[in-house]
Amino acid sequence: MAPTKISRRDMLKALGLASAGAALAACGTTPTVPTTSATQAPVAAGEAPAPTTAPAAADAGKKYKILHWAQGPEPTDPNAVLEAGQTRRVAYQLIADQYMKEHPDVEIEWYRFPAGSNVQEWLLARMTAQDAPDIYWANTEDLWPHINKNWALDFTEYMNMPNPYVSGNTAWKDQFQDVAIFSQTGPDGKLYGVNMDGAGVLIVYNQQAFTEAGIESVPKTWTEFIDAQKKLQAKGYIPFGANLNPDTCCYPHWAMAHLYNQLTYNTILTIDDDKNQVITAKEVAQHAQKGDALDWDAYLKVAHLLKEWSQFFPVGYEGTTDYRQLFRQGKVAMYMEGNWAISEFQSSPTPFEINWTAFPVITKDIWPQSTENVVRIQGAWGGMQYHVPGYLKEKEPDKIPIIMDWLMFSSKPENVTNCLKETSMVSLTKGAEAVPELAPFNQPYDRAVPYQSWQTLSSSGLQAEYKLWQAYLPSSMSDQEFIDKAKKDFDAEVQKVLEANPDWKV
Amino acid sequence: MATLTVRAARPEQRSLRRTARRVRKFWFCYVMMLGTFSLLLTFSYYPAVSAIYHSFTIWDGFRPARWVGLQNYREVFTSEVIFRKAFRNMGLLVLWDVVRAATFPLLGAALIYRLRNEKLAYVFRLVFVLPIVVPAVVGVLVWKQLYDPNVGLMNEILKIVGIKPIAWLSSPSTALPSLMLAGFPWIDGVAMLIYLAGLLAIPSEVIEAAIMDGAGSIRRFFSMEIPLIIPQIRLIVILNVIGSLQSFGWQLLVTRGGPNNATTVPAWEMYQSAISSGRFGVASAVGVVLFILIFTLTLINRAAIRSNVEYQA
Repeated sequence: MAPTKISRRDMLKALGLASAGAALAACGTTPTVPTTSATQAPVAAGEAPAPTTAPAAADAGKKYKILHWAQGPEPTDPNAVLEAGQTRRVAYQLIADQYMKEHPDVEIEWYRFPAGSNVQEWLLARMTAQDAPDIYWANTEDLWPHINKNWALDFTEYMNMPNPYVSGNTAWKDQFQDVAIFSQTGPDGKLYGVNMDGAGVLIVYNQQAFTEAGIESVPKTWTEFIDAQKKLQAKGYIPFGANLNPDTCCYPHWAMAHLYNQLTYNTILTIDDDKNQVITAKEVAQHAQKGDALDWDAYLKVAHLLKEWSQFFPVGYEGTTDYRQLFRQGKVAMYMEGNWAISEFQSSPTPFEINWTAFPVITKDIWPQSTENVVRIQGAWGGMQYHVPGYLKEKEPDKIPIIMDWLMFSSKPENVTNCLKETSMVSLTKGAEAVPELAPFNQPYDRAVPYQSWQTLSSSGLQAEYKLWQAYLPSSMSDQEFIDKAKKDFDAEVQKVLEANPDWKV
Repeated sequence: MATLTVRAARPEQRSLRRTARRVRKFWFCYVMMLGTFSLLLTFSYYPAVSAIYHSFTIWDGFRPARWVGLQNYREVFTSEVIFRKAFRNMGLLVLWDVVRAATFPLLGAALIYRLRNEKLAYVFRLVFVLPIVVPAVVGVLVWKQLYDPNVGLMNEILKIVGIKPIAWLSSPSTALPSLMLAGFPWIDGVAMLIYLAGLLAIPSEVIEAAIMDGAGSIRRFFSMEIPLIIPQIRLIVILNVIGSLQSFGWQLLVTRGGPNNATTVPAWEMYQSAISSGRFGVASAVGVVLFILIFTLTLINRAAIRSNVEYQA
């Protein structure tokens, strides 16, 4: 029998049918793979915690893949081509390799955060799509207004369990310093993450520029600080690197944190309702409704000090200036920087000697109520603060104990120490050691700032405050206009946070 | 240019049976269009309808939406940032974009049209069109570097000629003009090609007759060529208006709407409300307002930009 030839029309009909069928099939729902329930029974708070071990796989041979955005200690991509002088980060990979060797049913994969992306925008997109990494990094200020939306899993029961990888440990949370636990405590009192390291902020300066400008000793007070900048300006340097761009870390709110906390040293903690030495978004929102969240006299004084300071900033500071690059080029004499830059300065040294100094003290001649105490941004904004998406509780509940076990393993003091060697962060894990170059960040101070600008309220609040400084600093706005605008903008941001968290209304 | 005429269907009584017969006969056409329609419904029409609904609610994308009526629209129209600054900036940018799109590419096309040497005309056409292959994002980032107040080329040139450096994108007073200046000399390749095609379609007899009557080059340009390419001008204008109203590439990549809201536009405020603040209701309201604006301007454009002579080959 001779083969039947198919006409062009019939072939087109068949192709059309096939493509339409494929399109419909693609739009259909994917049957969900039934997940096994966790074999580890949760321990209620207050009860004696049962020992935890990595649970046996519900099905023999079932592999768990943990996608982890490691942020700070993220191992360098093996395919990445490094610049001369750059070092490859390997510590966390070695830790993961060891863990995977001991747990063949678990695979750790690193999530590479898209370069240049905004964390808040990324978080919103990932949580909406429910495809965030199993472990992700976020500063808790970005999380608290969204806890009600199930963005982060409650860690409390696991924090009360012993860490099997740390000898003698009876509760995982005992491994960490108090500030690490406070930072992860949400508005409802529950713990929403683990925080193994922290950050400190100092002023880094060009030693050579200071010498050339005749600055013999590092300025300790605000008056000395201004004088030093005048000398640097006279020598042709841009005295201080700063910009008001919300996408550049982190001049305005660091400056605000140091100045405002100094001026309100005796009163700032009156709004710390839970007495944990940290002001939270909920506390700010609730006190804003009572009218006592911010000391507006002190806020106006901060504005005056910033305005005096702004004459020493680079051209175009109101927008985007890459003052870090200008510092490396020897044009900017100093700027505020976090301790994580130590590893960057080590791998890519500047052509001049650098040193670190604390933020100057506001003395009584500047602000009569000043207590002349030294405050420092030193706390939990590290590269190893990890959270787990809350939706995993419904989506993949059997994976959660595996994730927690991996985090417990990661938080072994020797593992944290190895990561800190690469990241130069401050240790918040007891027994873990920071690198010796962090010595400047171990200089004594009176208080770690409990409040860090409107960012404490929300990331939208941070942006609003940046816009306020953009409006005020280069302009001839009067004090009354400034305060009126500041109050109006602050109230608007509080309303946004209350809209998302109606249970915070007083 | 040939005019395509579609013959209207013959008027006849359509019964359900006749329609069903016709569908059965051409069933594979409908099946082939099914995929496209379902994608259109899913990704174009459903989001639009959803946005209209959610513009009347408070919704964060996670918890159930709460009906609040016109509250979001009240916020949009009373907000100093969204209504006064953003819409004002958008108006200036749209106006500039229309003027820019209607003049400079047309000027470029007219100059190329007048070149006698065909090879030279081809070269110039290529030179103006080639930048199309460069992604717009790259162009934005290049201009961002040019505008850097401390190390950018623009200020280096100003320093050489003895002018004080300008903050460009970093100052509220110069940020918006800097956005307008970006892209100089503003000869968009696609627009220029469309204008050139229109000019080339003008029959040579018409041009020759005008020359014989003593019409100079400039007179011919304003009295003959522009009226005869009004459809092209209308197309370019409306495309630019729609594009300008919707675009916020500079804001997303460079300015973030600042400094101090100097470059903010409604599309950026819509994005910020949704992504930064999680206020999808307000974002939807801004989107609906933009939709109404674009629709209205499209209708006005069709009615306003007309020529007494629209040539049909």
